[in-house]
Amino acid sequence: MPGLTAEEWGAVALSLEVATRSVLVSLVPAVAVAWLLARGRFPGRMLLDALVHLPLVVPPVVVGWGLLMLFGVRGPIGAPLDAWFGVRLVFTTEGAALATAVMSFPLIVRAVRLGLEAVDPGLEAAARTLGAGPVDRFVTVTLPLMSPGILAGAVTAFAAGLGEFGAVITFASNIPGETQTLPLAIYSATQTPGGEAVAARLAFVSFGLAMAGLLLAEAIARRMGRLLGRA
Amino acid sequence: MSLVLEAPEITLGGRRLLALDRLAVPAGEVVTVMGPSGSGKSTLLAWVSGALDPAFRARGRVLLGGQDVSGLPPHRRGIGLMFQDDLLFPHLSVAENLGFGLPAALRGRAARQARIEAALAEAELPGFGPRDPATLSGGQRARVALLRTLLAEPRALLLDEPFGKLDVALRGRVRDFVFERVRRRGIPALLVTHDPADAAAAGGPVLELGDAAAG
Repeated sequence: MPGLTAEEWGAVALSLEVATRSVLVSLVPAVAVAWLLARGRFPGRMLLDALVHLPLVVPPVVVGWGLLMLFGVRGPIGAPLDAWFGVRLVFTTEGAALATAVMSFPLIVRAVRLGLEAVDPGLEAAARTLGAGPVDRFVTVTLPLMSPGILAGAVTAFAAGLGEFGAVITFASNIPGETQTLPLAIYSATQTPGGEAVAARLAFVSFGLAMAGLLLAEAIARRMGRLLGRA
Repeated sequence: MSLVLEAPEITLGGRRLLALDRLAVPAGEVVTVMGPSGSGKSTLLAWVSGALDPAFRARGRVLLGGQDVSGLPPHRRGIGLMFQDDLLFPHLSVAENLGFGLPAALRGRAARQARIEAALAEAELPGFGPRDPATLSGGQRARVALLRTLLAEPRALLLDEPFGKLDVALRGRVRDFVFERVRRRGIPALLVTHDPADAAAAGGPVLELGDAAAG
């Protein structure tokens, strides 16, 4: 990319780091929640479903505020984290990753759930009559067959995570090199006199990364579908 | 090894779906269960395999070689089940499908591979191991599905309309293939079907389940 300064590259790199970490944090819980929503029969399933989807409809600033309340240094989770482990999430890169993870969580859950619902329950029943116990069945049959959904969800969440703004700036603030991801850097540039060129360059990078992510997700889904004999 | 169903009674929402006194399937024999749709044929097989939907209530015992397996989960019963769909795992090769149910007691990659290849050769499918199941014909898939079930060394076999989706010419051949193996292995088999020709080919006793409303 021509003409990006070191600081601008830093924002790009930080965005990639935050998005990657957010996906790593949310992937396993997302698979578990998708499983519960698709297969679970328990009271409160609808409530869990609504709760998971909340970040899609609530203003991101509100999600950031909620995280501040919970994970702030005096919050019910933040205080013990600080006291016992010396971990502070507010105004840190980890915090930016957490805020991004919460925001993109519903995207992963939805994709994983679609992948899981595409698995023929008959195949799991067949595995059962062939002597495979529950864990064995999940690892050898269900998980590989739902993997297109998992991968698509991870890539989509990664692409979306590159652009998370409201929750990150509210919870982690806008600190260059620490929490100033690509969208935050663009926002700062637009607030700076003469920053139009910087904003344009970064916006272009942002657009390119998002496009690449979506195309990659689609390509992976197709390729896996063919591998699994479903396309 | 024989399969005995002792006084099975299956109800759904308080309504009796099916009740029998006793059904014994001797080793190496195929007992056919026939009856109209809704008479509980498939439900009976699901109960025997241990995979009855929790919406149903069931009483009675399943005895396998004299041992009561009613309390065991499906994967510990050692009862093989063949469905109308072949249900081959699409993400595994033919050989991996066949290896899926091989008993853990059979150790060593070479030994397991040899067992799989022998089974394929015997079913006139030599060299099919590396193939993707999606590339097989209907009859080949049916045979692979049966081999997979048998390689798991089940102590009894349940057949839930396993020939229903095959065309007439193929049906006879796959049927002979299945029944011949049941006899050779000396395991009891319970067949559910609509087709009187299946019952005739099975050659064993035929049980007619009545209309559900009569129960």
